[in-house]
Amino acid sequence: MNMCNNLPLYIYNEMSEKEKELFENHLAGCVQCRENLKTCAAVKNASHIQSAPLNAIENIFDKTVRKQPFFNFSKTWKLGFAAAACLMIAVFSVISDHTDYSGAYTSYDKVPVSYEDISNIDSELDEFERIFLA
Amino acid sequence: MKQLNDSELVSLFKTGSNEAFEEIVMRYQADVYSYLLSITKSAEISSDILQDSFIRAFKKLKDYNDENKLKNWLFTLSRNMTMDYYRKNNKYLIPLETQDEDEASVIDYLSDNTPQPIEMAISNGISESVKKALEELSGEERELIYLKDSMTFKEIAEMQNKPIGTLLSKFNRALAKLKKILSETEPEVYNEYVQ
Repeated sequence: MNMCNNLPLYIYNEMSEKEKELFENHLAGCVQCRENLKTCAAVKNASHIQSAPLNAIENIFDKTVRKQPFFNFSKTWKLGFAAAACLMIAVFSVISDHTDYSGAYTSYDKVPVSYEDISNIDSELDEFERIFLA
Repeated sequence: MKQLNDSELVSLFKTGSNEAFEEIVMRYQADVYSYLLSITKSAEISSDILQDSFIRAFKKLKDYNDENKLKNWLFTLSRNMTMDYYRKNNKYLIPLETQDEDEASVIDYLSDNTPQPIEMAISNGISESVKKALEELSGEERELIYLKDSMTFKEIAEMQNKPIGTLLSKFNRALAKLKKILSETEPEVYNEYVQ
């Protein structure tokens, strides 16, 4: 490798002691390197590091370490309790609609009824009508 | 937390420590932000990409295994995010022939063809003239000089997968260009620094 090429390594102190010694010997006899030395030092000293805006850093934290998890345990518990309560109310209201005071199930929705039963009920109603309207 | 090295911080983060990630952000935000500024020349865009980069890092860090090269990884990540940003934003059209080629050519293209105000804040005691002259360099050369603030040549070579000799040649070319620019635009500074 061309010795002049190593100038940045020398300026940025990235040489071993032996390499440094060799380069300093070269530097003593190289006008071009001595000229470039100042430019390189100027670039090195003009530090370009600048901090990011505070709001950018805050945004990073808000979207990472401070981000609320999608599954919020306490909130879920509250919602769960509310849903369970609603379900219970709904179930009880449905059951109570179809239950008489003795607790017997009184819904006729799923009771199979034959034509014979209907005609019997019909005749009983006729009988009641005949007795009470008489 | 500040005493921990990168490897220890990553290990701690993997155990669920948010403080470890906060320390990683605080440790590298300035380096990454300054590097992004060297590529984009825009504080606003750099800030956006910085945020995206660290959010991506937060998601990917759990699967990251090469703890000793965290800094390189963050720089590579932010570099890739910058490429993605420009590819997604149609206002900065990248010529087709450069899309799948060397990323450096994309950086050069973006840096040289997007006239934006130079929003670099100049710190006290630092030569503004040198910084202005740096803006005249190509995107690739400027990127290398800015990276030098945070990394060694060896680290940059590993990150960019290039031989150190190539980087040194590029750095020396950039220095020569810088000297020429300073002699033409800022003769006083040139005399002060170079003569």
